[in-house]
Amino acid sequence: MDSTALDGNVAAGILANIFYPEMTVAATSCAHCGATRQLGELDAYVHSPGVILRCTSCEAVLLRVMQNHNRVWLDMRGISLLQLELPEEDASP
Amino acid sequence: MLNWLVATVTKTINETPDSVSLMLDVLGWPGHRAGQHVDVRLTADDGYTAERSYSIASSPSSNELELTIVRLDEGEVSPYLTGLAVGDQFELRGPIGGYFVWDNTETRPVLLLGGGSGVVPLMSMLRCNAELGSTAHMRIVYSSRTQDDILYRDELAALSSDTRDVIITLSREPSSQWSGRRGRIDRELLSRLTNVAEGNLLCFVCGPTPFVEAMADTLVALGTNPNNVKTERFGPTNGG
Repeated sequence: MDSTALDGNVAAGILANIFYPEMTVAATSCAHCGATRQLGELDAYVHSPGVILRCTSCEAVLLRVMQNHNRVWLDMRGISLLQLELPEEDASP
Repeated sequence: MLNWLVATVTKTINETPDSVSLMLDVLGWPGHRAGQHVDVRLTADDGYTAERSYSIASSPSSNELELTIVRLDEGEVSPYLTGLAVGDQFELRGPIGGYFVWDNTETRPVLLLGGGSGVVPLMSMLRCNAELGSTAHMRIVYSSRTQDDILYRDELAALSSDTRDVIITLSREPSSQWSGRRGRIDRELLSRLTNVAEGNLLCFVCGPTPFVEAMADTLVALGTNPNNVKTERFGPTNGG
């Protein structure tokens, strides 16, 4: 990680437009090394348009997201498993 | 889906020569948790928009939303926000984030480490702890450059109590008038502060990336459970 990395919290606003559950506490498993981290902990790079989230263990790209007006591009192939927590009122299966 | 809401400035507080706290009335604000942030959006006449994230400084129990903005002269957004006057309006959405948050139902002892304006979300936690009469022991160590750069200086002094401890350390204070701690937050200080909690300590670290990395690494090296160290990093790439 270089010193310009931020963390996954910076992606929370744009992801809130796509996902219903709160995403910074979602568990992400890295498709490259298998490390599991909460999304808010991941290294975030914001130099390019949009946000790139990388694994804090192996630095592989986990997620890329970009928004331009009302169009969003989302690439999540670096995440092998995403575990989301639904709000309590939606807990019954 | 988070909707954009209109915020109206009800009061401005000059915190330091380059930072301002904005008290905001936000129609439809759903309330927040201590440590969360908002996205602010500015739209130019030609439709160009700029968005930035700002941490919330106010306690969840406060009627008004408070944001503290540090002006970055090269920035697109902060020079505008720090120049706002009472009655001015802008758009924001939130609250955002569930990772870097502290709830007053939490009873474990808390250590807050803030570097520069990283103190802002920690202030929300400290205010929440004070205003809602939490039983959790909370200690904040705030690293600032000089006396003039200290945010919330008088309020921090007033928040100090039996269960709340405030330590301010200055890394570049030239004046001999400062009788408080000097230098960066080092291993010796953290060792003393983390020892007391017997592995039960909850830590929140916020500041520039190098500060956060150094603090988190030291906390973990001293035996703090990594799962109990929550971090939020910001840098010039997000600022402005």
